[in-house]
Amino acid sequence: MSRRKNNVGTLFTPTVLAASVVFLLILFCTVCAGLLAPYDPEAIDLSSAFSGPSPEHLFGADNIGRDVLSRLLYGGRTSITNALLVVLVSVLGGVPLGLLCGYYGGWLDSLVMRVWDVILSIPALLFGFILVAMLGRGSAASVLALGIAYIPMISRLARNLTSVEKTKTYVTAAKSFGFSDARIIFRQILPNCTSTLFAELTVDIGYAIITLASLSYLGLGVQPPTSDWGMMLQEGLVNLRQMPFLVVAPGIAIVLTIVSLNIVSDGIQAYLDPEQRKLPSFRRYEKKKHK
Amino acid sequence: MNTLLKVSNLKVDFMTVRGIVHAVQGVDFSLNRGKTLGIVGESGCGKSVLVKSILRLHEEQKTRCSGNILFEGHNILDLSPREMLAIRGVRASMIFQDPMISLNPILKIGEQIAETFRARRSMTKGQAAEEALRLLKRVGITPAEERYHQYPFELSGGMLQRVVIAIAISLEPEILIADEATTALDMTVQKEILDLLKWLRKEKGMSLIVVTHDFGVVAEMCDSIAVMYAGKIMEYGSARQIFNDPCHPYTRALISSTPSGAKGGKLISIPGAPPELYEPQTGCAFYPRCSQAAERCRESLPAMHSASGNHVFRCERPQ
Repeated sequence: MSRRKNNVGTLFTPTVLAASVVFLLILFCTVCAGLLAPYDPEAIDLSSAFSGPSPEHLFGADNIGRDVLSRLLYGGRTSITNALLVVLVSVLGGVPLGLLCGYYGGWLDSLVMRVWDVILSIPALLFGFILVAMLGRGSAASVLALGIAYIPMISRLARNLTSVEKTKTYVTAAKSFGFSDARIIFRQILPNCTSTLFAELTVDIGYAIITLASLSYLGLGVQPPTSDWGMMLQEGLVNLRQMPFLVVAPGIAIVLTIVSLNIVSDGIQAYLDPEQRKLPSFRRYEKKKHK
Repeated sequence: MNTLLKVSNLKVDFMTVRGIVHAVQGVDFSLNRGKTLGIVGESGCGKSVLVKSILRLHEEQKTRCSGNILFEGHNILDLSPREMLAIRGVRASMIFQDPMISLNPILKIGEQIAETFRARRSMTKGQAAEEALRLLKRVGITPAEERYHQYPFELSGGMLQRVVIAIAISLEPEILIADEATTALDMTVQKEILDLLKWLRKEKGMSLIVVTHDFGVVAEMCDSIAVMYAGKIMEYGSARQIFNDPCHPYTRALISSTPSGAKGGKLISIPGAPPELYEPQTGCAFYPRCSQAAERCRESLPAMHSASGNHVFRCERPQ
């Protein structure tokens, strides 16, 4: 008897394939910004200020003649790295706390969740402002602030998933084998929550890019001369009339990143669920098998 | 002393949104080394609650236990949570009713067995995997090497129950509790699992506690039998005593409602349903459904009477 693998159907439906190509391309370009960027992103060349797309400046140059393409690449690197860091902070802070609250319940759970209720009643951006006001401006502070602002959502999700999982028989069974609480929480319950948590996290990366952009746009995030996409939006807005492209370019970059990331994440979700996975038609499957 | 487990006057209450449920109301029994005890009764009569309290698997905040569960002289109810960890799995372990849900759905079955070795025997990953594979073969899973890497949803119920048994016996416990372990399986598979349990009992010298509503299972497995109803033991004795000379009307009704026990090939069902256990009963709990019921059964709680030797029953009007 040969082992049947559940390998029918594919993760890469045309949509997911397109989205992952786009996302990987963005990731690649921004990671390799140093190699790909034609100019120094901070090099000022007033003679080509406001020049439209041309062979020298593929995406044109901004109000003080900096190459828009180069700035997009370097800015993307900052934006994406910071967004990932935000999510990392929120996971490290939120997931263990949520697991503990969900598993033990009781006063710890009530206390933590009520604190989160308070924090969640404040919009993440506003909460970011408060923390930035306390921690000072700058990229590190804004990342930390947003990371903390996202902890309540993540930990609440982890907590709810855990409180559902802990009533399942496999947890009682694990207890009956004499597993310690820590082992049950992290090795039995956590793996059952990861796919849902993962979905939430990819969405959060998108949110983090937008919110970081907003913070930068308001001058609270990364500080000049470093730049991210939010910063570019802010600078472009001043010159919206002369050259709308200065706003459109980082805007499109943000949208493309977030949309492609979400499509990929939805695709992975659907693939992992045997009920939802996109399966080939009977004809196609049989044809392939007979080959 | 040959007694491994001695339960005396065990009471288990639950706090619920509808009030306190008196799920187990003063139960006594003992289990000798290498022997098998059957606990029989309808759904909702406290069998599972009783055996789960042996491993203290109830949610502690909402449960109140009193009485004694003496395991080699130590009262399990007095142990600290840390001491409990040393009991679970190593001294006594449990098999649950539905194998489909008693395994972690997203871990490979081999890894789940290996996990107990890693957690409790501090083995390395490689050693644990080796042990797990050996155990898979022992419980009759073929081809073990392939099955090791499969997920629970890829296996049938009978196979899964073998995996659950493998985990339960992995630390060689002295007592194995099978809580309706064959109820969710079909008849042929049920037979295989019972044979496996019998074989393990013989090979390992384990004591078994078999919880079931099926007298057929009890007849095949058990040395002694406790018939439970509404949180109390109604009749207790050796398997032979219970089958040949059932004293309690409830025991007789249960036996005649199974295919093998029915006289003249006719199954007789017991009218009505077990009582809810919110209030302590004043009379016999079986009174409303009993064919022999008399006025005094309703008024006072029947005492335990002795039929012969260890054979006891809780009825004032036995036949």
